[in-house]
Amino acid sequence: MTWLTEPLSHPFFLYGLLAGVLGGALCGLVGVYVVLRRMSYIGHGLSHAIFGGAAVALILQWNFYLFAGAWGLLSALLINGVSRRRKVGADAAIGVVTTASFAVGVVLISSVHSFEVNLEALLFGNILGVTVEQLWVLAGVCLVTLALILLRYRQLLFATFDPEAADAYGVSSRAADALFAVIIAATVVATMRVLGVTLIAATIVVPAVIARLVTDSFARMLVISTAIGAIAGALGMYVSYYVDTPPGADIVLILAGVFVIVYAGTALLGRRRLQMLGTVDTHAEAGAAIDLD
Amino acid sequence: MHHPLLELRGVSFTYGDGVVLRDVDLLVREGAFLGVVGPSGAGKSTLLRLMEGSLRPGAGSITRGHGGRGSLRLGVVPQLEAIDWNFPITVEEVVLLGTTGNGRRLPWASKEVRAQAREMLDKLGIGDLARRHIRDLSGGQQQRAFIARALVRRPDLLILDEPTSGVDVRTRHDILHLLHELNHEGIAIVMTTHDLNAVAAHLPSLVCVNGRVVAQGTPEQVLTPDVLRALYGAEMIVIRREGMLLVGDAFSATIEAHDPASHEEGTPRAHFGEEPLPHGHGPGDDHRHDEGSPSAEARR
Repeated sequence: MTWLTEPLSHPFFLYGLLAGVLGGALCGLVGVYVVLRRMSYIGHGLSHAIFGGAAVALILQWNFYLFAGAWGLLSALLINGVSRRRKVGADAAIGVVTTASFAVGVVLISSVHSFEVNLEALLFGNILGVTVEQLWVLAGVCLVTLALILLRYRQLLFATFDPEAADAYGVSSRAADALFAVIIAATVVATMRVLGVTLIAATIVVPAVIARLVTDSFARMLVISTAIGAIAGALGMYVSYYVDTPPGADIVLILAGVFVIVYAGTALLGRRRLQMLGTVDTHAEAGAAIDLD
Repeated sequence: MHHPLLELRGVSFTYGDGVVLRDVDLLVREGAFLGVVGPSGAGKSTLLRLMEGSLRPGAGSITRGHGGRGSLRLGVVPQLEAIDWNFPITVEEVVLLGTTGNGRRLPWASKEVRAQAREMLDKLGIGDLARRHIRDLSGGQQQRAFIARALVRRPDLLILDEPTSGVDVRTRHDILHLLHELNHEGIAIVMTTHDLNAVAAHLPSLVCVNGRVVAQGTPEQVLTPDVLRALYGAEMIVIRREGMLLVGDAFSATIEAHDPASHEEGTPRAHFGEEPLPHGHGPGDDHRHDEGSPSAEARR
């Protein structure tokens, strides 16, 4: 068991492990709503959009979390607002809003050459360099998100499943959309420095997709997706420690591997069930024939 | 005296530049059973969404009256085509969504609410399907699950968008029977339908919509050639036989009036609504007509 405990003696690994578990769990939890709302690219798009806000915050030396968070919230609300127009779908809205915002970041970075920002950390994450402050922010976002999802469980479920009818049942779909925008923006901002702009999308989408493959219950999907995200976060850190590869990429590769296994397993089970049904039908027909004789 | 539940006065609605509904006046009273008919794109679903409150009118006003227990309670049953049948949700979870506005903060339902949901499912004859995924139900059972979601909040007015669309004859009959029962229990009902003969003609009152209200009244009053011409922009024939109203379009009637003898040799018998003869009988056989056709090729 020393292989499990030995890395924990290094503070950088312990902090990284905590960040991986918390970030993975948070992304897994939020990802259920993202996937079921058919907005899988919002994680990818929003992280790029927030990149613009992050660049502004770092250049002007404003508080990263407050400014990037507000920027992300504005982007998410804009996506919701634009996608409500009948002629523009959510995918197109994500494309327009997020690329424009990302372009702002690129323009700012290319015009200001003298700031001390580790851009690589923003783009690809720096889980091994996570600070205590970043951990507290991540833990806080996890707690608030969990509380909001528990307290607004039915409203969010209704607005996700049947937004057309939700208003008639006293559930404001606009309020639910706004709450979802807050949650997704907070998730991306909190995990951006840990997982990086380019890898957040996978940690949001893949656990939820795996969970969907193994359950038909919404509540169970939330639990399973959160657990998969957290476990992949932890495993990714250990793989990174022993194989000496980037932890963010390891987490995503582990998730992708689990997806392939679960996808193949469920397909195989489905085929076996069909074969069993065929066997039962054949037996039934044979039985009927014998009875007739 | 039946009190007004919902009143639309001079309501207009536009999507972008297109006017969908113009100057609609409509009154729904307690105990009403109202069918909304009209061609595709006439604004029927938009009218329902305005009634539900999920859309706001561009002009005019919508007044909601008071139901038996204070403020008006609506039960909404969406078009089945609009539902994501792969969404991970069981029948019981769908029904429990109907209790969302009861002020409970906890994510799980109380024992009493769960019992109410089970009771409603039993009443609608699908109690044993509570734990099934919604995709695993038949069309009629799916419709009942969503009606149960609406009923569990004890609505004053039930609004259904095409409840008999895409179901077989038996299921359509069952759904209409259920809706009539609910109406007799005191629930007002508004529903849209495309089916003039099997559904609309059997409802107590109809409103004909095509961008505006073309006519309102009983089926006998509104299912007339003049109203139907104004509604669908086509000549329609209305036949009254043994107390039943039958509506058909004049174009089909013209085709059916063809004399088979006047057609060229080789015209399939199905064209005249006749069963095909066995292979090798007569010049108008379907199999002869099929020779070399794309469908015949595909079968090979």
